[in-house]
Amino acid sequence: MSLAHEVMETLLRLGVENGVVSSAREREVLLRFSNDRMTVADAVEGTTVSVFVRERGRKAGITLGETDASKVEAAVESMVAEMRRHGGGGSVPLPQGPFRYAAAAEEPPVDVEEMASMAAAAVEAARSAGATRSAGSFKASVTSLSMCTTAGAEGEALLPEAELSLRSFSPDGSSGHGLAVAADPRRIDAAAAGREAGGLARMSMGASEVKGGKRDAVLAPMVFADLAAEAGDMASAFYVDMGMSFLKDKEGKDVASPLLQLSDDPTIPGCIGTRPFDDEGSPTRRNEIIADGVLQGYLHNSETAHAHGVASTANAGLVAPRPFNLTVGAGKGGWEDLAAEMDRGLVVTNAWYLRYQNHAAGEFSVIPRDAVFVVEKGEVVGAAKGLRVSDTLSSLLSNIEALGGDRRWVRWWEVDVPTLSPSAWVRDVSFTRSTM
Amino acid sequence: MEDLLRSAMEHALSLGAEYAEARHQSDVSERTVVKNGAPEVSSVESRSGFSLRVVKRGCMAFAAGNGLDAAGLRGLAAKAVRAADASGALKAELRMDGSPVCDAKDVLAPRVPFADVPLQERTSLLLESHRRAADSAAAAGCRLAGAFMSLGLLRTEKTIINSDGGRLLSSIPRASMNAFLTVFSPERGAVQRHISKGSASGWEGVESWALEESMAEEAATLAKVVNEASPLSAGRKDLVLGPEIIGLVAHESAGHPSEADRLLGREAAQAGETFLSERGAPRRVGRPMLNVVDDPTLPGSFGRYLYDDECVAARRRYLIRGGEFDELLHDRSSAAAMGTLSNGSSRSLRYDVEPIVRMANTFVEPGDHSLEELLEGVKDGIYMRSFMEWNIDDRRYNQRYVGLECHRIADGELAGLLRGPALEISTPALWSSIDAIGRDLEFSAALCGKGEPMQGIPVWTGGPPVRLRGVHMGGSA
Repeated sequence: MSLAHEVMETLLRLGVENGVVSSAREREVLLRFSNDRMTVADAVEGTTVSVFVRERGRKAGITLGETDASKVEAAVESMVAEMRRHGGGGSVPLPQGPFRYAAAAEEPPVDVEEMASMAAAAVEAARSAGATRSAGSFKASVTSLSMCTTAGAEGEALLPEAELSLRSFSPDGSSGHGLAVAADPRRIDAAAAGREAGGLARMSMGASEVKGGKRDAVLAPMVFADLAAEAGDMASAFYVDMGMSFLKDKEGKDVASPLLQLSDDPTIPGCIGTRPFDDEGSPTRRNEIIADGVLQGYLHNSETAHAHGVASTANAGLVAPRPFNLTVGAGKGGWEDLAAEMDRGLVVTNAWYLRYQNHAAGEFSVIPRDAVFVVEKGEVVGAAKGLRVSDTLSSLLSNIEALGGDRRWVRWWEVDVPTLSPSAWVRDVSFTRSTM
Repeated sequence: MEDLLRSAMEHALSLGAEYAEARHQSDVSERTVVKNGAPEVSSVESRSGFSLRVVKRGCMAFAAGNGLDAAGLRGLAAKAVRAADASGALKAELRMDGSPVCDAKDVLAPRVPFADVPLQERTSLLLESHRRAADSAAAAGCRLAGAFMSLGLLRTEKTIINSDGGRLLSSIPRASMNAFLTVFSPERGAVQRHISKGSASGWEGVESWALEESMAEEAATLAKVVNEASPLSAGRKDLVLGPEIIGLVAHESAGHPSEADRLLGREAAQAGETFLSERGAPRRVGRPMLNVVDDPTLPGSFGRYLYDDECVAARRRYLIRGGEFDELLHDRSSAAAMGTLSNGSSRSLRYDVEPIVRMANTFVEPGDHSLEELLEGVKDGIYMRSFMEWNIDDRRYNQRYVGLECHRIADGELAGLLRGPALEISTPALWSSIDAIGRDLEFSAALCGKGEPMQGIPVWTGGPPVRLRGVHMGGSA
């Protein structure tokens, strides 16, 4: 009997109305490098058990880094007793199982020597492409997940992830970012990520200060993925109910250009965000969030769905529903092709540090970093620096003029949710800059 | 415990490591959440485990795991050494400095242990805080349209030994509170605010915040902003920054640029580098009265610790002294690389992440002006008391702060609220614009994000109000 099933026995014995137990065993290798040298090599393994209980209007959870079932059971008994001292009212039932799930993924190898060789290949490729130095991280992990619920759902999943993120610098400090994301580290093209980072660093040498103001811009996949992931997060009914979403009261309404299709699809085989079930045990499915620019609905767990009078979208989050694996519909061409059509504007290849002035209005700013190119008459004529995008999500998503066909998976320090995103040509992006 | 750690450390040394440190860390966190005036969830998270960090032939490696016995710990040591051996073509030349290391205990006993405060009392405090905030907004003709309030109680215990003779046993409780409020008027729209409080303390820290009154005041202020704030035209103004904002400036524009690992390029791919490493970067950025410090030893502070995770004693560090960038924040490897000694800045968030260079409590040292004296000197300006949006580039050079509670200053007097003025300015320009520093020091709590994987570590940011002359302010709609 697995640890999760042992703990479930305790919940059933206690007569808990709604309970979820999951145990996760994670194994990760993380290599960090800087100045073309290894900074640190990490190898981490750990087991956690999480128990969530919902009854009589109250919710409680525990997460323990513990493999001793008797200790977990004692903690569970204490949690349930404390919760029952104060509860009152009803609770929404968990989705009723049993369910059938997609077959678990195969476990890829995670080998520190092999990964170090790949990281070295990325650094060498960046150097060959013109970089003088590179820094980055290469991580690969495998999580073995076991889940069961008091409503009869039970399943096993294997969640593999690999991510190589590389930033390269040219002699004048200009930089470029390369990224490769996959479920299996063997599918990471390290040399391509290195070439991308080194090439962008070389191309953006000699960047100059340019004025702020409204400009057309091509937002490369790493940038547009940041915006798409924000929209995906804000589609969570939890954030809508909290007033932390610009999508509140917009179901069935235009929230973006008709060109935009945004979905959450954790069923795509072989992606890092792929998973067979959500945190309540519901089998995952593809959910359209924005279709032809129209908001199709919010992401729900069973509780938010009940409050909104709809069915769960299998996006639990035991407290807050969330997207798992976002996809943006593709157009045609790469960022270079979009820039050629744009005539005049900027190409932003990366951005970070997105912060809101007002979540409900979607007012935010985010800082372009790494290569930013100036485009005139469809040609890249130089590089720019020192700019900030200060705009609203509604405006940026509504002003999409064209989407590229250069979709790629993005996940890195700035973008938490794996997002398949193309480049996007956006009209009238508001850029600001320091004037002192 | 120490015997287990020592056995693992010695095993790593026997496998060829030149340096080894072994740590056991336990973090037990209790959280109570109220959403829109109803109990949302209460949770307990307990994570504990072991880590080994080694340096072998100039390469550093880190291994961590939980549920391990003595044999498992020796396996962890072997795994760390194997990872250090794997560097191949990326082989490094890293070493630790010769800093004195401690054999010490740092146990902070809470006056009111968290266990003495039942869940119901914690929940009731948040529910009452919500009620007071809602009443406050309603009294001003607005509605508390969204409110998330979360109370966190954390106890961190560490046992650390290293092969240079360091030994540390520490136990530190921390209390924190986070809120996100949305105040709405059908006629004038909504404003939102994040609020963070934190201290190294038991429940007495929570009591000191007077949350019910504090949330009522916050909601009342937001309602005033909704009802009364008017737009601002862009232009050059004098600006008084309140403690909340100058504290964040101290953290972002003195603390982060002064992290030695950024200067050495170690963080280049994630949170970035520092403009201080660039040729021609100015060292002098302010007038001689400007001092910005980072001090982990402040009693009760959210970032408090007396010894870091490399067993080096903590002390106050002058990041900007007399208007010039001065001391960097170092761990033992960055200090060795730059030919100096660590100043005790190495911290890790959990057992399964490596210690890296971190700030603790970063603030502008007080001067001699009252707030009234700062305002008196302004003919036409802005008093920016709180903010919502901010960010700064990865060199820590170009930053933006958008005000939330902002007052117009006319002839030295507060003369009405302004809506969302934006300060977008370079780091040298910001520090050099300060012509007067207040005397009343206040702190805010925050979690500072850095590293890969991201480690959100508790800090205080602070300062007294300061006055800036002739800065360009962006307008608002």
